[in-house]
Amino acid sequence: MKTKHWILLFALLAAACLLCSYFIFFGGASASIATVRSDGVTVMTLDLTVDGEYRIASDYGENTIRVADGKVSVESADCPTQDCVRHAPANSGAPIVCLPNRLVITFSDAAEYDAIIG
Amino acid sequence: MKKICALVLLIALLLCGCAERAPVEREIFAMDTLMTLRVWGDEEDASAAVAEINRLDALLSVTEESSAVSMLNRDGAATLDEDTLLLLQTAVEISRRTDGAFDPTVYPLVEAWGFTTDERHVPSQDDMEAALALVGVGQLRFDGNTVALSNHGTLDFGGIAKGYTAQKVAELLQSRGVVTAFLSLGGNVQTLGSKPDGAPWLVGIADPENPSQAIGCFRFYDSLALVTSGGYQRYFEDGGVRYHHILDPNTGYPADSGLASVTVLARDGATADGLSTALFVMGMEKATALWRESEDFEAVFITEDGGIFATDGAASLLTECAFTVIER
Repeated sequence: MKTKHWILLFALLAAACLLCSYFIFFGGASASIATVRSDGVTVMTLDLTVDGEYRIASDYGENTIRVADGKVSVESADCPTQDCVRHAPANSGAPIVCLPNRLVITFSDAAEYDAIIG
Repeated sequence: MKKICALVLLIALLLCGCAERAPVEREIFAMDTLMTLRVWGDEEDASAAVAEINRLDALLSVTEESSAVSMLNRDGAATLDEDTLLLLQTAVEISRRTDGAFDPTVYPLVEAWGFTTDERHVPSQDDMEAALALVGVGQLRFDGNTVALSNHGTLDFGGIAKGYTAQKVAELLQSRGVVTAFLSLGGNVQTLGSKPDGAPWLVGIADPENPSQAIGCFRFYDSLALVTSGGYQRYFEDGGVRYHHILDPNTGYPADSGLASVTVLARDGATADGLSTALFVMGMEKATALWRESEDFEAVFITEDGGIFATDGAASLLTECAFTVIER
């Protein structure tokens, strides 16, 4: 094997190690991405590092979602129960759900568990 | 050169074999909750699972006018299909085992409190007594597959239908040759088989103080049903008092047993579902006594002051939290 090939092989291995260590050290942190689904269809991907307010409307109803301080919350909803509005701002764990409006907000760290029951 | 090519090809094939097949995922709204399914099979298997959920949703619903349970509620008697009869028999058995802590005839009480509507309120004493008079499985009469409900009572499978459905879907998938599936039906989890990559199933128990976060985690590898019942899930406040939705069929009031939540693990989904409600109502002392004389479930209790207690079978699967083991 020529020296060039050894260098290439070494560089590739080093890159792989760096990539692995990134996931090992940073993979378990709180999610910075949340996915918004309306009636089972992904309608928005939220970057939780960017503050903002978004209106999600469907045949079932309307919700206003707010991203602030790295967390997402439901600011308002035209549903009767308001369970989603009462949900504390979150950036990890179980999804925020507005059942009547069929709105679901999930976090990218949720893969840590297959589910959280309760 | 040929040998090297063959070797490279062999390694590539082996690596392909290692890559896990991704499950087919479905998210549906049924039985008034969000359900997510992960099926390690094909699209048709996942569609069959969704169809089974929708079939049972219509069949077991009290709001579906043509369902057997609606007919029974309306006419006082009905001939039940196989699923409704089996579920009712399971519900009655759990009710008897738990001295009525779980009761499929509790619906008039739930209505009196307004938990079926958006107008939740403390019922008047008269309304409470009228509702209590309608509650009790003793009012059910079985004659083959015909069931009569005296006294204009009302049957409702809300506390057990999801567990039964999860069980039935797992059985359907198994009959189609699917060996691995993860079903999460709004707080009810049912696993089928073990993950193809050999990793354990990881099911978190919600922290009653902060339900979106897990307070502990079950690690296990095979088919199991897990259901949590907690007073924090649905409630309203009146005059500074919090009233939750898990009613004690014997008193008519929200269960006040010192527990924040109960998680039940069982092989049978309907049993896990019905018992999670019952054990919450019974409180830890009575629930533990029932566990000692039973062999079909394990449980984890979280008390209102934050203590975690696990029966020894559940303790062997519980991780990521400190807990006290309840010995048999």
